[in-house]
Amino acid sequence: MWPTILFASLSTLSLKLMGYFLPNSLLGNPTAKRIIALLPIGLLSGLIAIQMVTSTSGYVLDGRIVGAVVALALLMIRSPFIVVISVAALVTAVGRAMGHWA
Amino acid sequence: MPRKRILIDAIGIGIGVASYGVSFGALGVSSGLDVAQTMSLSLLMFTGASQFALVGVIAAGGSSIAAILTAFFVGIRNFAYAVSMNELLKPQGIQKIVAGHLTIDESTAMALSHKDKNEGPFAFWVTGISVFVFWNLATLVGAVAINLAGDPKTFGLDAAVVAGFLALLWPQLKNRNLVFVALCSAVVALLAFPFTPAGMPILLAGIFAAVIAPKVMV
Repeated sequence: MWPTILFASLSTLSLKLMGYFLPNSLLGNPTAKRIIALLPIGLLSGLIAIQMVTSTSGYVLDGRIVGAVVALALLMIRSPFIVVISVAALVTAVGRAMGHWA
Repeated sequence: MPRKRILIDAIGIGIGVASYGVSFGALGVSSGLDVAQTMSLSLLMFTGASQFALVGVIAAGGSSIAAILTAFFVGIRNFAYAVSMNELLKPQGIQKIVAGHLTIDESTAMALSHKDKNEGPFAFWVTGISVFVFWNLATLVGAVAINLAGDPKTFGLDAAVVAGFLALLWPQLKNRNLVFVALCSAVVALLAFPFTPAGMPILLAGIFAAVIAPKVMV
C-alpha cells in the first residue's frame, strides 16, 4: 500500500508543480483546455455512479441512493458543502437504523 | 482591516473543509489503509478529490495502477490552477514548491476573488495554510475515531462520500451539454462495471468525457 500512496502523492504534486515550472503557453492550447475541463467531470461522474450503486459483489441498491437524492436536492437550493454532506449521511444513517433501507 | 476579513474567511473555509476531512480520515481507514497511511495522503497528496478517488478505487478492490491514475486525472485541474497562481504569486525557488503544494480549489478561489485589491497573494497563502492545518487535523480525528467506532455504514459515511463527489461535480456542470456528458459518463462506468477490473470503469468514464464526448456531442 505504501508505494501506491507515495506514487499517487508524487503524481498529483507533480501536476501542481508543473504549473509553476513549465512555460504557461501549454494551457492556451484548446485541446489541453478541453481535457482539463472535461476529464474531472467524467471521472467524478464515474466515481459517483460506482460508489452509489455497486459493491465488490455487484450492483446494489441501498440507502446510498437516498443519500444521493438528498444531496442533489440540497445542491439545487445552493446549500453549503458541509450541509450537503452531513444531511445526506444523517438521512441515510437514520433510515438504516429504522430499517427503511440497507 | 481587509486583511483581517480575509483571514477570518480563510479560517472559516478551513473549518468547513474540516468536516470533509473527518469523512476522509474515516473513509481511508474503512477502505483498508491504516491511520499513518491515511494521514500521509492528507499531508503529501493534499488535494481532497484525488484522495477520495484513490481510496474509493482501493475500497472497490482496484489495482494500484488504477488507483494512481484515477487520483492523477482527478487532480488535473490543479495544473490549471497552478499556472494561474504562478502568474499571480510569481514565487521564487523553494517558494514555488510550497505554493505548488498549497495550490488547491480553496486557495485558488480565494486568491482570484481578492486579486483586484492586490490581496490575492495574501488570500492564497492564508487560505492554503488554514486548509492544510484543518484538513490534516480533521483527517487524524476521523481516522482515529472510525478505528474506535466500527462500521462506517452505521453513520451513513458511504452516502457522505457519494454526496461529497456530487458536491464537487455540481459547480463544474455549467451548462446542459456538460450535464449530459456527466450523465453519459456515469452510464459508461456502470456498463463497464461487470466486465472490467475495479477502477477501470471510472477511468473509462473519464476517457469518454475528455476524448469521445467532444467528438460526438458537445
